[in-house]
Amino acid sequence: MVLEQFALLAKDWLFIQVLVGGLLIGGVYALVAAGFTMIFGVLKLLNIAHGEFVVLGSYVAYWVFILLGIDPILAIAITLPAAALYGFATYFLAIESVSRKGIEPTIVASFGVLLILQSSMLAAFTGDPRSIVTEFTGESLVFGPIIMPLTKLLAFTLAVAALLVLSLFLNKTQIGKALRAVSQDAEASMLMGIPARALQRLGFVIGSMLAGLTGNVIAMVSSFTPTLGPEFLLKSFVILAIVGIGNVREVIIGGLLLGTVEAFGSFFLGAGMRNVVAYGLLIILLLIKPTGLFSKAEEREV
Amino acid sequence: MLLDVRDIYVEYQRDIEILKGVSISVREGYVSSVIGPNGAGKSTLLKTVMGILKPKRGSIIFDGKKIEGKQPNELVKMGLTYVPQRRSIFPQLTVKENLEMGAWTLRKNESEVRRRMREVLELFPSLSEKINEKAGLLSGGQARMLEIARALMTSPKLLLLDEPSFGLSPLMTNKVYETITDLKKTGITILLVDQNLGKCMELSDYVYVIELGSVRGGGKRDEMPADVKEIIRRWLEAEEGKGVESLSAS
Amino acid sequence: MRGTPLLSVENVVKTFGGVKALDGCSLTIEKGVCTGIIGPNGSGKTTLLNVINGFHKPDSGRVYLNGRRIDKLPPSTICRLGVGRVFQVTKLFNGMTVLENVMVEAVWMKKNLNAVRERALELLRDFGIPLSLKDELAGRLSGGQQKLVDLARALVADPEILLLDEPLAGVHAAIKEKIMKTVNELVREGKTVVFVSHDIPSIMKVAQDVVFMSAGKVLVRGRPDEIRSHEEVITAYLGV
Repeated sequence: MVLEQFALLAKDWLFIQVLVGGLLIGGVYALVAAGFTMIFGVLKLLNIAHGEFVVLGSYVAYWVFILLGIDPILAIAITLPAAALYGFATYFLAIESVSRKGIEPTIVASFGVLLILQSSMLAAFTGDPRSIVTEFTGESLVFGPIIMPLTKLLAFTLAVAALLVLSLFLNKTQIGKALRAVSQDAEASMLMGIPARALQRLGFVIGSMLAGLTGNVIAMVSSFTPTLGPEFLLKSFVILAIVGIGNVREVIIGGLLLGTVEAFGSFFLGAGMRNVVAYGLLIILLLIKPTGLFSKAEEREV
Repeated sequence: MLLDVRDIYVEYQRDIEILKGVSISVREGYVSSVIGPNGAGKSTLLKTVMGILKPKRGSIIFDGKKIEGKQPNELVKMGLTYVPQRRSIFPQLTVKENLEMGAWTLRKNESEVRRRMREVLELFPSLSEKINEKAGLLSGGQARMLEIARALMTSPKLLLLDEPSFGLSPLMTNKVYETITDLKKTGITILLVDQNLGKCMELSDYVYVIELGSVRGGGKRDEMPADVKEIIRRWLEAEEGKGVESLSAS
Repeated sequence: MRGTPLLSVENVVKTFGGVKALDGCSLTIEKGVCTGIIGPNGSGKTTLLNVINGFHKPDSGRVYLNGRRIDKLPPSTICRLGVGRVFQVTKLFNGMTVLENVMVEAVWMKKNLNAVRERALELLRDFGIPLSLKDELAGRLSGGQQKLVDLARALVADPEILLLDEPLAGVHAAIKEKIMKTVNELVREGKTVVFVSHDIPSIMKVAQDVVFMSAGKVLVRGRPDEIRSHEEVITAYLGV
């Protein structure tokens, strides 16, 4: 049977089609992971509720579309400040004071945030799958044998654009460099007068905005429910297992890789196996290269 | 006096007092050093001056202002700067970016940052060769130089140095001390903690001996009270290993 | 001049992300001798110790202890074979008390508990750590004191070979002298010590055999006075 599918792949440019599908969704995965790694970097916090921040972003885009009739691309202008707001509120209410007690309590607190947000969304929005259908939803661009759904292409473009802006911000601006300094050594950064606590707050908010943006673009391409969050968390874990806690450019590569592997995995094994493929990849990577595929090898003491 | 530490008490968590009434003065334009056994409270003293630890009692006066309880970032703006013993470069940033971070409080004034960077790099020519390299690729000695250079970006009035030669090869230790000697000539005031007693004594104008959280004595290096002088003499002998028999002949 | 080699490192290569930390390093350590290892930062000294006690597996090359090949063994086994280790970057159990930290390795090696306790207290006293601190959590000590506790831990376990990585850095002169005397005693008892340090005067005193490493290899080896006057060592490392 697998042989037949291999034969199928070779025919009609299907190989390229699957590849393109994987790459397009991979860009979106990279965006989730970028937000997750940003928060991890500045706070050393594994934000277990990161997936919920994504789903909240989807609901913001959804309701803006339903209630105000605003197209999901334009809705980004509302989703971003909304995500900044719920990110800041979470940080202020649940993370900041706990984070002084250490890393473990903070992870537990973020797990609490996951449960609260997920239950609240279930109560408020029900568990019914929602989706946004605009006039573009069914449209596709056709390049010879390759078909690209317009919304997916848009989602990919938006994700990559956002990541490029993020990369420029982190590498070219003084505040961006200071954020990187804080994530490398918060105490040392304070010794130069860098307001590390304020920047940690900023990093958390930026991470939330990236999550919100991801939610927004996901709402453009597929249906979603309040319980989808942990799946995005998993994708972030896998990507970070691929690239290590690295820079934005590496996160993009990791996202594209995961998207591609998943696409081929579900092509061969069926769409239901998509997460099995992702988990499998995670476990294999942790076994063979626990510091990340592209990391600079083992920690070395000299 | 540029810095006056008056009778400070610092405790670690609730019950262990690390500093029990420490007073020292740092005179402007000179190198003062604090020496003493491990656990005496030397690093704690520097951290308390820098605002990383809060004294339970006592006062710290810097440049005529009370500073105890102030945050490190406020103190940087007032002209204090601190190089901890541990490695504290930002390894993923370039040497240049590290220096820019050192000038964070000046960042609104780009021409000033550039001017300062030129001045600082003149003192550290080995860093200008590596200016666009990631700081994580520097050797131990170069990284220490970068930490000191970075601390000088704000043109501080007082530089706090904690074990600048820690873990460095003899060659690099000499270079670091040469650099500190050069710095001394520029008129910057330095408060130094180092277990490298010989070097430390050579360089310092004022020396304080601290043991078990209290100042045993000190003052101008060449006018030290006899008992303190005797303690230091014994330590210097120990450093040379006078009491250790060499087995290499056997 | 050379005695029986107790430990021999043969042609070891260890690479980290493209950088050769050890590049064909060969070295024999004689029984009952203190061998000093010096060399610039990054010359591979710590990596060599890590290969000997099994933290790093060499990419190629072999390590023999008493004629038995050990480079494939886990660190715990190598420890039980009598190789003790003191770290440059101290690794204490912060949730255990000072005394527990000093005793833990010896207790694990099934030494006599009372003797271990006595020796532990003696060493703490020697290293200037007030006995009032013995029941405090180790994480509460100053950086320098933690280093001394780590050294005491290794000494109490009484290994056949002791690997010391920069035991003198940041240590007060008077304690430094105690450490050197302790090493001398060990050597007199017939124990073997490998002593990595930048502290040249101390190395020259305490070691009978000095090895100069550079770029992952042994470059020069000899008696302390030979090494001290060796031109290459002076230009690359000691300075003038």
